[in-house]
Amino acid sequence: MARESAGAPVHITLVGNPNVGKSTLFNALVGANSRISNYPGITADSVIGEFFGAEQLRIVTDLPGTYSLHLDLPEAQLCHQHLKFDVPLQGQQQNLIIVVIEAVGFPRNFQLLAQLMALGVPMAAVVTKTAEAQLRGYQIQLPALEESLGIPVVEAAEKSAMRTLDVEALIATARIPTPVPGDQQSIEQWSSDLLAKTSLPVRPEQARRRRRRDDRLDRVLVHPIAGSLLFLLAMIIMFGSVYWLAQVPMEWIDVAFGTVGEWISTSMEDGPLRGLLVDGVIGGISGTMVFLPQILLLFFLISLLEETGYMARAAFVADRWLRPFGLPGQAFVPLLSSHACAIPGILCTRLIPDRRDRLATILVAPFLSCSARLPVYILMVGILAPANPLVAGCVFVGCYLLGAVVAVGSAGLVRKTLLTGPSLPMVLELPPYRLPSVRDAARIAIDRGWTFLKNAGSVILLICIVLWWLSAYPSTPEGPEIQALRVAAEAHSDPGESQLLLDQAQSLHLRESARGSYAGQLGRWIEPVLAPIGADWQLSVAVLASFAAREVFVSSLNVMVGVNAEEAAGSSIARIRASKRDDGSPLLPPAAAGGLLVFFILAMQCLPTLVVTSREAGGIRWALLQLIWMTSVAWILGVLTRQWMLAAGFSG
Amino acid sequence: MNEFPLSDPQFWWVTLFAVAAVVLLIVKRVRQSDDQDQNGSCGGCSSK
Repeated sequence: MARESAGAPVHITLVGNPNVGKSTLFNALVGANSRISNYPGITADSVIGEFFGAEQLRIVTDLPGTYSLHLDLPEAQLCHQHLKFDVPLQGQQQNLIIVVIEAVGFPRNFQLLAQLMALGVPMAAVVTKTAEAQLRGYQIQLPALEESLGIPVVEAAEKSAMRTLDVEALIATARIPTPVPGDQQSIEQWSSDLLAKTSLPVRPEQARRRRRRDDRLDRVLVHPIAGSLLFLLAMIIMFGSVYWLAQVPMEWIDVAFGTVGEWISTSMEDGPLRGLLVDGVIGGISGTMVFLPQILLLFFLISLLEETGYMARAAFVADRWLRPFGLPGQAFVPLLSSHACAIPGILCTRLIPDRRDRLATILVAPFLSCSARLPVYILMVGILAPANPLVAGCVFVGCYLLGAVVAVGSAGLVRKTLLTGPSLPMVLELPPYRLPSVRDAARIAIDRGWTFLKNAGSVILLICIVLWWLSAYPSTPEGPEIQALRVAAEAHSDPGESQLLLDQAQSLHLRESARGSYAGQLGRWIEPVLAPIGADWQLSVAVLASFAAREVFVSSLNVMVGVNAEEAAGSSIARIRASKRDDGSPLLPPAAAGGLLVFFILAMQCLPTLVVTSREAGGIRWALLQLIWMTSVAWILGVLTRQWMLAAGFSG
Repeated sequence: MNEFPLSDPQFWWVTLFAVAAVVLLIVKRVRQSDDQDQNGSCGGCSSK
């Protein structure tokens, strides 16, 4: 139910340098899940959210990070526009700026701070990463800072401290600061006085030792060869352990859904409603839910690695590999974001100043493996490397590597043909190494898992219901061959033989019904296109259904094989693996699984991404180029993989 | 020849659910476009 504000809303604008924690504070305030990372440039546009405090509506605007309001960069212009024109336009309504200051690299905040103080708007400050500053050997004196700036200041030592900040006290005590004289010399003098008054050294010897240790580690971890090999090894260990550790909870979920399906099958009479419930609803949801443990574990481990400070080193290593392919250093952040979802990745490309660099990054970003591809990877890897976590881990890493290699290769090609010109270097500050917070990593993993579940409960469920109907109707009456089998069964004196004939008749009827259904007709129509990568008509329908959203593939397949299965219920992954084609051969033999896996890694199967590409690149022709290029590469490499596997002796 | 069991009330119920699912999918797609304009996410991936 909507709440009513007891007065005019308070407009809060969050401003600060890049990567100081504005999005963390924004999420703590409004409870959103905007992507937060260790890298600058995650908020490419302003994000608006609302929350209620003291019976009043608070409207929060999270601006992109900038070092100054007067830089010739899109994010600086956006901040300048908002603070100079939008904030005063909010008129008589209460409005205030919360400036987020990072204790690490403290003086870097001063230029923007001085510009904000000149605006004449009530301000308050949050100082972040104070714990990290202490590790580096200095401490910010908050009372002195409060006195010097003339505004209330609070501290958030760690990311997790943002959630317990007393924002209401900040809003109540926000004040208009005394402006700093505008000329550069006065700002420099003010900055040097402020630094002397507010920053004090603490345990300098310990900080020096820590820096020496970090330098020693960096010599190995950012080394061109050793760093790259260690990155690869870290990824193999991570994916291998995800695969191995998630097996048991995945079985529990599978068995739980199978049991519910069996219970419904035995307690309801046979009919369309039972079919919809067991094969459409339960089959559809279980096909997605079963992957939840792997998704939770993967995001938990990635968050742990990110908090240790290692992922920033990985970015540094990856930059060396990107540049020869004509991608700018700034492309790393959008490409890394694309591993969660290509859309925020594409939106992040707004921070790439050069148009050609930006277009090249937009075009290749969806090649990177997003989380929606994970269920398909898990299913196929399970077929290709059953019961071998190490091989499974290597195949997993191979999936991610293949996407990345084809992405940079395509970028190199597009930069040498359609978009020629030089790239800019990347500047990245390496954070100190530290112990990760298990609680924060668990919270991030739960947030991601919840988003995944909400999706499974909505879009996937709806698509599965529609697909079940299309797979069940129109029904096919029993042909003469089936009727003859039934007559023969009735006439047979041996009950065992009779049952065998009845089962044969039932199996034949299910197969004919499936082929005659709308989904069957559609699948057989597109089967010739997908047959070279190993798909029969059932797999073709699942591939087609997943063009709207990739994660629908496994659930769709589960519904299809559920409708066609002779047993009403059972474990979803086992059911897909045990399913048969019309000719009685396995549905997913290894070579077909390999071909389909490569197709899924590279194909452009996300309608919303195409829409965003069209908008961000400034024309539908770029989205069409992306669709045609990605689908063609996926199909060709899928066919080659299957042929190679067939030649190597795999069945398919 | 293929057929629909028109006399079976359960057929009409499952058809009603399927039509409702199509309508909800269209409504969700429209809302999702609005969300993309504001915050940026495909709705399918576990990230915004």
